[in-house]
Amino acid sequence: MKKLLILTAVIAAAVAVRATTVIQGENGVGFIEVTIPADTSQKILSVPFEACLVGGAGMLSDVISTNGMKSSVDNPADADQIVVLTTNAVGSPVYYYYWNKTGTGWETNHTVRLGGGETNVIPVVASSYPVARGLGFWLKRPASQAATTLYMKGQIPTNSVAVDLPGNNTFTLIGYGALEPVDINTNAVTWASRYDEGALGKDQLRIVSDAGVMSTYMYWGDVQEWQTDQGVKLPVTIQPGEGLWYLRRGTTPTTTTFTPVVIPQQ
Amino acid sequence: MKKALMVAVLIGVGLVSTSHAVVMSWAALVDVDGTGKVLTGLTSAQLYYVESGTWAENSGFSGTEAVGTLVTGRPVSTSGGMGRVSEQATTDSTTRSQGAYFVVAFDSVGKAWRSNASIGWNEAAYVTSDPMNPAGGLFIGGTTGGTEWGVVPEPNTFALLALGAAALAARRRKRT
Repeated sequence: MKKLLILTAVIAAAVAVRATTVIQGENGVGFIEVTIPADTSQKILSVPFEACLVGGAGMLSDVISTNGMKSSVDNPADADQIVVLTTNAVGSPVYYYYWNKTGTGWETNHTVRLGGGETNVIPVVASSYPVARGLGFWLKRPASQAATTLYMKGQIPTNSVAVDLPGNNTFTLIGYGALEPVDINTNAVTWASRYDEGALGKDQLRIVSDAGVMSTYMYWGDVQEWQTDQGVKLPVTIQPGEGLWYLRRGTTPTTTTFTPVVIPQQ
Repeated sequence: MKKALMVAVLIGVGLVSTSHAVVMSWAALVDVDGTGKVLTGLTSAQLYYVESGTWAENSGFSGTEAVGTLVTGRPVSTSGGMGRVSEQATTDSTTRSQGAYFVVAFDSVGKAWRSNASIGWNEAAYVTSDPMNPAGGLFIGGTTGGTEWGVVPEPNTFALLALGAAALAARRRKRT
């Protein structure tokens, strides 16, 4: 009963915050809601907040609410799943899978190598896995689900955050950390260096639609913009809480920095 | 009722095709060093699918299928003695179960050249079918030395005559 009361209070607070101006400032706490359309099978998300309320750290179980998400008593495949990209002991990229277990919340499931193939590494429990601002993760849904809303909560960011992008054709899931919609060419992101060697490769952003269709945008060094592979600049908006892939073509790693208050490019 | 069923089937096919779309990253470096495979100014390029997986000599474009957008303009350049097409991300929405993709380059005098090298329809390093597991490989059609490009001949005269005869026969059948 107490749990239900707390949950109701959290949702009410979320609705109230959404209905008002976005809070900005020291120690401000915020919620965002991400619309998940019906029949979405997988979607890249990101947390635009700093450390969560509880325990002073932005742990997965604290940041991402299970409210409104599909749960299952004993079948992970029949529940919504959160999939985070991390590295194993030898530095190879792996996915940790968590599923929404009825009455428990985000429960560890299994670990899969990026590119396929299960490993025997058990994911870190959700209450100990930090979800960093600036990084993305996946939501995977069972088939034929109705539309829902995913809630994320945390502290409004006041500092810039740096995200490392390893080189050598490496994919990184990133999030703009934005509290309002931003264009991919927003000036609120500082790119340390982007790679454009034309026929030898270009850094890319890959955005996956709710229907699962992947769109690719290349870095054009002559104009320092993300454009289509044909060299056309399009308005491409990232919604708050959404994430995307960054493909780093250059051999050297780089770092990109997201500013806390995101202002869409005019 | 029959019409509704057909529409439903068409929508279903469309959905299946979408879900099987693949994305491939490719580029081109076309040698223009005068070795006999000279390209008189690179003007455009495109990805082509060949079901058999090999591009038979002297077959022209028969049995091939253009995929994605014909690349022209800004991504295409000629510099340093090389024709260049900057990196492309081409989506193939047709479901494949075999075959390979080639890069074809076109020059300013109407000749076409294809990469001898190709990528397989499901080559994991280059072809992305699952957005959760994207392929980071870049297929570069051609390298220096002009050794990896072959001319694509026009369909031969006999084939054209055969096509013409078939068209005439079909027309005659329609009249009777």
